[in-house]
Amino acid sequence: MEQQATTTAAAPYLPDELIAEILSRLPARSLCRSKCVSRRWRHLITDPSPCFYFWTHYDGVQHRWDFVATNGDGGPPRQVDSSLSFLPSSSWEKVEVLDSCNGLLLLRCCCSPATGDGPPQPAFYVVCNPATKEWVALPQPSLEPGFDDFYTKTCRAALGFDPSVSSHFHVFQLEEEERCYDHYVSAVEIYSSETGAWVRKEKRWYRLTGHMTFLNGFLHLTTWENVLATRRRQGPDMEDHPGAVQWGVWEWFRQPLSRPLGVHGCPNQTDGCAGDLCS
Amino acid sequence: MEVDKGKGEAEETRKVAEADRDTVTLKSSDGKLFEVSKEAAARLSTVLAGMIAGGSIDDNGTDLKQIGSEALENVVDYCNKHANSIPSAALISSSISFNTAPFKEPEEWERKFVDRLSHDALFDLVEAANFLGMERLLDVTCHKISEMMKGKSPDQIREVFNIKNDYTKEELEEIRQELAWAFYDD
Repeated sequence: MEQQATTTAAAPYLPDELIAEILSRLPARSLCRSKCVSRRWRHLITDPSPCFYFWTHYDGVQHRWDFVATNGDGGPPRQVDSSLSFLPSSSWEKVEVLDSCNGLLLLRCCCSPATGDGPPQPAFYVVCNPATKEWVALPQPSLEPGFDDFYTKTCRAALGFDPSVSSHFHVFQLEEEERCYDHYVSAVEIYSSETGAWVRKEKRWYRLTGHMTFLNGFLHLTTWENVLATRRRQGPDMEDHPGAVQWGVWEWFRQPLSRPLGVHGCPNQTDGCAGDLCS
Repeated sequence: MEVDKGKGEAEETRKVAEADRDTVTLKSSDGKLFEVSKEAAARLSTVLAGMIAGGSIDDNGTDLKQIGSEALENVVDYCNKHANSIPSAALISSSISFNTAPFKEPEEWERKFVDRLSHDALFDLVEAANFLGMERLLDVTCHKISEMMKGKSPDQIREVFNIKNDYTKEELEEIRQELAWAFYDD
């Protein structure tokens, strides 16, 4: 009875922010179904803003991580433990956030030496989801993460994760080599959470600015030569699995920049610029 | 001198009494007055906490022009119930424990509190909770509405939210095909 009386008289519209609050509590399937309700709802569900990103900043003592919002009030989204207190990091000497991608974080961690003056422990990668408090430590790649003897460095790594395509993620460790006192990318080692293994690919030389973004199944790297270098996927399965990451055969390709990239010269999901470049 | 002193004391007593009052009076858009526990209001609503701390609470009823009497009554009811309820272990436990989700499921009384509301009252309460910065009440009401949506068809959801379908038949078919996986067994 009450049901009948009230549904017809229901408040016609809640403001967008409240609809978004409600939608954010739905399980994935109900959320996707809700795209059929109206154009406005579909826009709310697919619109990437307001977006929250992890970022690191240096507070004078160490690098810390925090949230930054592309718009809105700038506060951290609820239900996410931004202090990463779920990690057993008390037994880890050092934890650095290297990258974030669609809700996952890539960390480089290092355990304290077994004895006070013992040899330093090798660093290792951890991928975690601060919303679900899940984390996994990756097996070691062929070169230790964060290795740097000047001639060879593995200081840069990136994370690739697109939950709309696959629940698996990829981690990219770049190997850089010294040439005439400058460092150029010489190889990439890629970890797949699906296979649980690293695969190493040697390739050409690029001098990177350090900005890397994973978008539409590609890892994008900005270089000092004012080009966008992209790890492009190729392979027979591409048609069957649009967006699936195929790293079997690959190549760098150079693309002159026709317009400036997003913030800090780093292509991002919202400006669509990198998407233009790889199409 | 005697008189002055007496007056000063009376003034002092009045001030103390004001500060000691353990309720505040809120006035809805349609002019109805409601008493609410000051402690609970300050704890549950960032907006009311700010008003109490800033001294902008009016003894004759603080105007909340955006909130109707039915919604305000529910807000006040929720605050007063919260003031009387003993927080359970779940509510006071730290959010940094390893296995619990940061969102705490509604307490039994909170569930009953929102279950008895009509759609209209529930929607008005969501807006009031949002306006007053009542994070917990917003959580509980949004949670309730999202539960109402689970397993419902787009048509049923439109009915609940009183939304007009502005898709063409072709567009809708296209989206449905794209999201076919989301429509299996329900």
